[in-house]
Amino acid sequence: MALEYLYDFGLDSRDLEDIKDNTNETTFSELSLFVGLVSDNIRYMKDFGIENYAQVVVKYPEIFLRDGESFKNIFSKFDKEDLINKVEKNPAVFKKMVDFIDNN
Amino acid sequence: MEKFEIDDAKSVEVYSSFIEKAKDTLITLIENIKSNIKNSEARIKETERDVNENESHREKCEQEIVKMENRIGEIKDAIDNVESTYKKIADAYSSTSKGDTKDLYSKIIEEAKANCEEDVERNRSEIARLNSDIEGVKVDIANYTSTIDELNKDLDDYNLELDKYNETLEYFEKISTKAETDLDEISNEKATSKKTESRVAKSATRKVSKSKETESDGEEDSSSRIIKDKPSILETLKSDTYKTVKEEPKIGEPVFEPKDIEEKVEVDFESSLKQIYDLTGYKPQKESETRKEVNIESDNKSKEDLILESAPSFDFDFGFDKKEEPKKEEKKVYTDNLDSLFSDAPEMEDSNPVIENSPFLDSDFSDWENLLNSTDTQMMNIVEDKKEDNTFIDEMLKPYGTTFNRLSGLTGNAIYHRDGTNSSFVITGKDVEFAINAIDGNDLKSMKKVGPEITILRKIKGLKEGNL
Repeated sequence: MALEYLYDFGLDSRDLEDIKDNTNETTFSELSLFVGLVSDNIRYMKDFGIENYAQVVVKYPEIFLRDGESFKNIFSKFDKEDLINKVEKNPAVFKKMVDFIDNN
Repeated sequence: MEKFEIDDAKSVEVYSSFIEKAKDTLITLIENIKSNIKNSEARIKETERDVNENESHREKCEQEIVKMENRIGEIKDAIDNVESTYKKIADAYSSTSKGDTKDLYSKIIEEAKANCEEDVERNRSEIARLNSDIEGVKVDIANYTSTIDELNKDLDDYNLELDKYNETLEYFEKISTKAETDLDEISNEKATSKKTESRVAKSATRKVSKSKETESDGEEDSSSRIIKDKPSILETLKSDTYKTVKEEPKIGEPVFEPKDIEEKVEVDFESSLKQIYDLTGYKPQKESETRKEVNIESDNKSKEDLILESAPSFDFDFGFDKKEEPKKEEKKVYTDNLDSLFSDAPEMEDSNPVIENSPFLDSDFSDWENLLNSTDTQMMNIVEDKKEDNTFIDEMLKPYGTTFNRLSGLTGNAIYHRDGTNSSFVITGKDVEFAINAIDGNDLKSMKKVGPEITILRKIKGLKEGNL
């Protein structure tokens, strides 16, 4: 399986199926290829303290297809506690934050 | 040695004339650039004047508009006055008049009304005319503004051009100065070398009176002295002169002549062929193939080729016969002559620039026999090339804040597709080079958003998949 490495982050086969269903061919192939990059970003998110990071990975895997620096930059723009609380309540908040950073 | 001196002098002459020509060309170019700068400056002045004129026209137009708008305001006030006056009169007459007077007054009122309406109509048409004038003037202003914008753009372009000319001028002046310095240096060197030459000639003449051996030794000494005394300018002449030196066979060293080789090959072959076969259990067919491989692989070794060509011709297509056997011996012959073989340094150096500056048969190549006979040599070269490539690629990646190793580390070794198929993915230096060269504006935007590493990796992926 192409995304087997995601098992290491607590995702299960259903999550991988969801990712497969929710992504286009380009994103899927990039997720399968840029293993190191995606793993680093997921690890950072996990270490940052967001417990439901797996949900973010499943719902918005394309967010993790960016450089480490760029990914960390998202977290540096917001208050840590507030960010963790909001993302844990609703993973879609993280997507909105990424869009906000990208558009400003 | 004499030949070397002549060639060297010629090279110096050629170099001097080249520098002189280059200097003349540069002077002409500088003159052209100066005239271009003057033209640019004149155009800039003209454009600035045009801009000023257009701006003053625009200001006048704007003032005109203000005037017209004021006039419209006055006319509107007048209309209001007329209308209110008419209304007052009408009210007054209507409230006071009775019976017959009412008819009379009503006629008067009607006339007054008609007059008022006529007046108002005239004023309104005047307002309309003024408004259309204002619109016309606004169009003029827009035209002036666009003209001013264009002129400003031209002005920017001219300024840019002027800057470029100035930079080019500066650059050419630097080169010109350098050329002059080189010419001075060459003339100094010429004088020095002439003096040295005369000194050498004198010492040679003195040595001629001695024995022939001493004379030849003396020549060698003087030649080495001259070569050692060669000033730095010769280094600047680089390859041609240097090659001339290298191509000359050294005194006392065996000269590598094809005919000699042929003879030696034949002798060695005939004397040792049988013995070799007996001792080694030599298989002729294999040897023939090996020989062919050697022939193909050793294209770069000119001496080897020379020997092979100069050796008696063998027909490889007809299987083994005795004539083929000398090939192995041939190889021996010129491995014995390896010193002279590799004294043909320029070609070797050309083929491998990494070891260009290190003297041949120095530490790295002292174990030449093993190196040549083992595949490790090839591996070493490959490793060296790879290292070089990585360094080069890392230099290319430096502006993007990453390295080749880092990029490789971020990726897996296969691309998987949703349909379950996959293809292997290995990043090479060439891939990175192509990807960097193919970076365009969109990629730069993408880099700003998601970072340079993934953008480059995506580029590589795209190139490999043939999508770009």
